[in-house]
Amino acid sequence: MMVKGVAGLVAGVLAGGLGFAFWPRVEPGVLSLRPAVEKPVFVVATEAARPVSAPSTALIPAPSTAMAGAPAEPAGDKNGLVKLAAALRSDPTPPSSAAPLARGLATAALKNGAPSEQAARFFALGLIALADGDVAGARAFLDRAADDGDTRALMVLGDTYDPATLTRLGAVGIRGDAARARDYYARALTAGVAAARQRIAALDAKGN
Amino acid sequence: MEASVTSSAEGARNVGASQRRAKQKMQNLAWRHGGVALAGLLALAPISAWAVTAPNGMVAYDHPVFRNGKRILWHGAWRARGAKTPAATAERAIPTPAPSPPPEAAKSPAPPPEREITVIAEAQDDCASRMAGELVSTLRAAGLKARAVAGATSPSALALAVIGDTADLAIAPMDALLADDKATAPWRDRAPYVARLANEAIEIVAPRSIADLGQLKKLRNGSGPTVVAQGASAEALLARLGLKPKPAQESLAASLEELAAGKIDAVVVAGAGHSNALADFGKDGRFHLLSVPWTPALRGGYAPARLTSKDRPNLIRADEKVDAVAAPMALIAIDAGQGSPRAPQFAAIVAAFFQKFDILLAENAQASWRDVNLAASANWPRLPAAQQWIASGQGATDASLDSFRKMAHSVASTNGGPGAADADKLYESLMRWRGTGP
Repeated sequence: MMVKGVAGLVAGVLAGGLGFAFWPRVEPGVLSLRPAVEKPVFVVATEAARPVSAPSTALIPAPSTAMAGAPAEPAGDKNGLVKLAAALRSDPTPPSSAAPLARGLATAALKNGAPSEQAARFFALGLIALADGDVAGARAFLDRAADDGDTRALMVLGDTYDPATLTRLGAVGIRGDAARARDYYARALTAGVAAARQRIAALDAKGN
Repeated sequence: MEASVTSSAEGARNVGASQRRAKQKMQNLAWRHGGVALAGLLALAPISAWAVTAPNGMVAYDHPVFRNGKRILWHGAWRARGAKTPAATAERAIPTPAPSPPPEAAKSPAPPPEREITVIAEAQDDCASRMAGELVSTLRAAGLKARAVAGATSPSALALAVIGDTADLAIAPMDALLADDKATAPWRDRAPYVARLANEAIEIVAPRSIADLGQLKKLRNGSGPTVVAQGASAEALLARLGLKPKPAQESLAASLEELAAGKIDAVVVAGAGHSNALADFGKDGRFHLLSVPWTPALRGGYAPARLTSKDRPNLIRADEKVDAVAAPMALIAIDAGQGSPRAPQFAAIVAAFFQKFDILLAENAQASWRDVNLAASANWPRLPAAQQWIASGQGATDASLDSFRKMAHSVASTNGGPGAADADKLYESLMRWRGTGP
């Protein structure tokens, strides 16, 4: 009888141990996540409700107009160039604020006029975006920098379209546009960025 | 007395017999209970073994998942197909990205998921919705089963999708994710990005009587201006601008109707793109888009954008330009962080997306795809399978490019943002990398 009692006790302990071992694990991180769920999400299957889930594999036609944030058409966006040309004509000498910039290689690009602090900030943010591979974001910042008078931005805008630059950057998916790159390089050269000449020559050498 | 004694003796005997019976009963009870417990153990043993091996293709969740108020324990069968390993083993078998694997190894076909892949996009976001549809078409072209659904992609909604298993991919605004205080590990790690997508412009529609943002902020209708935010990105931007957003409970068209009726002060929408609701609104000239001047507060989450009448002829006059901001988008993998049994299945999805990406660059596809650099990085964890794919296609390391990137990261992390001197240094570094002087 003693043996039976002990056997029953052992079986009970074993059952408890196994129950504990197989009890589902709860991660503390998940518990801390739950308060983030503030409202239910109603996921609606769009097979019948929305065009995005059309059963056919045909792509949804995209309208031809360009969205905001995309770089302006080179042929149509003459305002920036006109603005730059006017600025260059009216103020051929560097203002005093250009003193900190009058050093190193960067000075050459600014010989005809210093960009505003705001333009330089946009330019720097464009370069940071480019370093991350965010080509579209870089173009947006560089466009604004060029509009605000930083002629170097035209040069780098050309780089963002230059197939050679994109390849060396390790870009995947996005395609270069040699014609658009050439256009930006030409505008940069006109604005005084001498290095743009080498880029144009490189495009010529590759038959672009 | 005798009788009494006899009676007492009998009573004592009776008591002794009763005690023995009770003792016997308790022993029998203990034995029965022990036997029942043992029998239960024996009966449960096969179930326990089944729970470990999950032979029918099911995989155990590594975190609690609730559906309809009940806790569910297993993933769908499709996730374990191909793995053919016990659930616990499958969890440990997540491949870690090799530093530079050979392209052939990285691009070898992964077992495709048998369950239909669900791509979620913000219902109000026209661009994201179209992109989700086109992504689904591309995945189908690669032989995968996929569907696009309209839903919410706010951080809380994505968190729910992660734990609720309601979607596999999401086209989500990164500004809202980055701005979310709750977006910390392990949530971030469970929703890594596959690719950074193009930016989407955010538009603020208001009556022309409200000239600018400053005037909008000064409106006092009760506690302040009533600005309806259509989508997570709109909410995030308004919060960044110091405006209290009113989350939209209805469609963009309905919100615009309320705006036209004067019931609300403004409507903010991201990625409206070619939405008919916005394209057809305000043709009487009573409304316009408010400019969002660039401020340092916007750095790190947004890019500038400039809208013209070409973009919104109904809301921008021919001679006007409207400064706006654009929010970065990303393709997010749901519940695909390291340690998740789902992660290996994403290799097939990533391979299909990257290999068939050219389809999305076609003229009839959404123009935003043509701005996408699949290798672009974001301040967010990257899906290991995507990182591996990109690394497999990268060439030899370029010291001057690395130098440029290091300098850019250093400048980006400075307080107050970059200045003119930083711009000079970065430009010089870029020119050195490209092999020409400025």
